[in-house]
Amino acid sequence: MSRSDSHTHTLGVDLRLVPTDTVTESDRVTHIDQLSEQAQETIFSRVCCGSQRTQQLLTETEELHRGDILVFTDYFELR
Amino acid sequence: MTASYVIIGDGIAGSSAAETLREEDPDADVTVITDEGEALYNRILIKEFAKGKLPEAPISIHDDSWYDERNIDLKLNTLVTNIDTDAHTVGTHEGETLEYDKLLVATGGTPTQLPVENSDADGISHFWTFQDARQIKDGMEAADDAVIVGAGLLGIDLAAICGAQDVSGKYLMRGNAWWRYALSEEGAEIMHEAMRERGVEPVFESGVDRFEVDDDGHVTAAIDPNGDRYGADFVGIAIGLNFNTEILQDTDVKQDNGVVVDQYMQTNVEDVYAAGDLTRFYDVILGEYAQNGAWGSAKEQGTIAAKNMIDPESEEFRWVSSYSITHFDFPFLSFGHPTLGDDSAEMKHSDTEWRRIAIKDGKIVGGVLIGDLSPQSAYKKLMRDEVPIGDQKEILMQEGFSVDDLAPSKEQ
Ligand SMILES: Cc1cc2nc3c(=O)[nH]c(=O)nc-3n(C[C@H](O)[C@H](O)[C@H](O)COP(=O)(O)OP(=O)(O)OC[C@H]3O[C@@H](n4cnc5c(N)ncnc54)[C@H](O)[C@@H]3O)c2cc1C
Repeated sequence: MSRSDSHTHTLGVDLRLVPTDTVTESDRVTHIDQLSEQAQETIFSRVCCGSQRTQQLLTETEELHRGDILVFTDYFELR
Repeated sequence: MTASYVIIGDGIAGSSAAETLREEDPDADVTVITDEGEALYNRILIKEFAKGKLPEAPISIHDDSWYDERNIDLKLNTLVTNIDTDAHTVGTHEGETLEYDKLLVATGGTPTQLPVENSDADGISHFWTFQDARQIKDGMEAADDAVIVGAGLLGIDLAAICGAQDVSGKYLMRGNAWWRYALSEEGAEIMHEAMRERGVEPVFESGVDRFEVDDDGHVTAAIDPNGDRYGADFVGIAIGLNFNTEILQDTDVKQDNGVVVDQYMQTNVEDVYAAGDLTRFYDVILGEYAQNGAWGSAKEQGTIAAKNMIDPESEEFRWVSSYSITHFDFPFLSFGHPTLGDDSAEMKHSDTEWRRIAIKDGKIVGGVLIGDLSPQSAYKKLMRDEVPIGDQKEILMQEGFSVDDLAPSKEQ
């Protein structure tokens, strides 16, 4: 099985990016460079340099699931 | 007739090709061969493991059952030693011969060794595989002082591991700045300062002339070309990649510092394709041959190669690559081909905000953004659409720049 398989996601719900220090063996961890350009742009608008632009809605997709850890300028949990 | 596809390499390029082949040709025989002892793992996260911040399990991407479920024959610990493109066969180190209808070479690279005395001493590591990351983690955990060599994107990973493991580090660079082919001194200084804050001191106009070792053969110091001595019980080296192309030496597959492929990932030899880091591909946006060394690009090349292996010349590789550095509390993004170009524009907006774009024949071909990533999608769009930017470089550098700020091009 792949770590990306067998996950149901709730569409349209805005996720929060919460800095975290804890990563467990069972966490799914994604690096920003693994994401599509569109998902990256959404993350950029949420995490950094958002002063001049609107923060985009961050929803669950095939790439990003609630509970995932995202490695970017910090470790963020998607909640 | 059932098609038979053989893929050499189970990195992201080989693995994404296997996945696409299976999705698009459910009846085909698909074989993936790797000399590594583990199935696809997340090469871009092994640095986080080496820092001691991530456990092992999340690094793995596929386990054996992923291949079983897709009826893909995965051969671990198997080195391909030769290819016969006339007979359409590949041979392995165990003497096995496999036949193929279409072959994908996705063998990536191996870190370049530093050609100096004692560079194979204990305590000196190069960085490419998960095994290397395990060794680096152990080495850094036991070390007091480290030396890092290689002023590029992988070298800074080693520097960041050093900082995360609380090891005092000296980062020896040949020039006057980190990644001097893509950043000016002003931009690089933001990175230097971030390294210093983590206990890693950049040393410029330096490098390594030789290493000193103790009686047990463990490294004790690096001596630079100026004769300066840097004591170290751990050394990390990342000075480049040698592409794994030895297996092509008895074939007519064209190479030019990498395997030459067109925009369909086809080599010049019938039924042989290549994808990932080792390709010199025809970049349809740039209009010339180019190279990428990034996860997203390797993944896309694998997917495109697979589609064209099934249906030749059906889909082009058209891609603006990007690469982030995630070690600091500010973002860093490079995109496209930031080291190319005949012109550039750059601007520092604050102590932690800097940007530079590389321009070739009046069009953006790449760039680096530090701190403020907001213009990245606009720059990529201009690059992808091959928009001539004329004399509007200053507008591109403005804070809050958007594509609409540019005057319509007259040159179309
Ligand atoms: C430490 C590190 C950090 C990185 N960080 C980033 C990052 O932050 N962002 C980013 O975009 N990219 C990053 N990269 C680059 C990225 O990982 C690569 O561009 C990508 O993994 C290349 O994939 P590939 O499939 O072409 O090659 P590889 O991943 O190198 O896979 C090639 C495989 O082929 C196998 N092989 C070679 N020869 C043979 C043979 N003869 N027989 C059988 N098997 C063989 C190799 O063992 C290997 O498993 C990083 C790389 C490293 C090493």
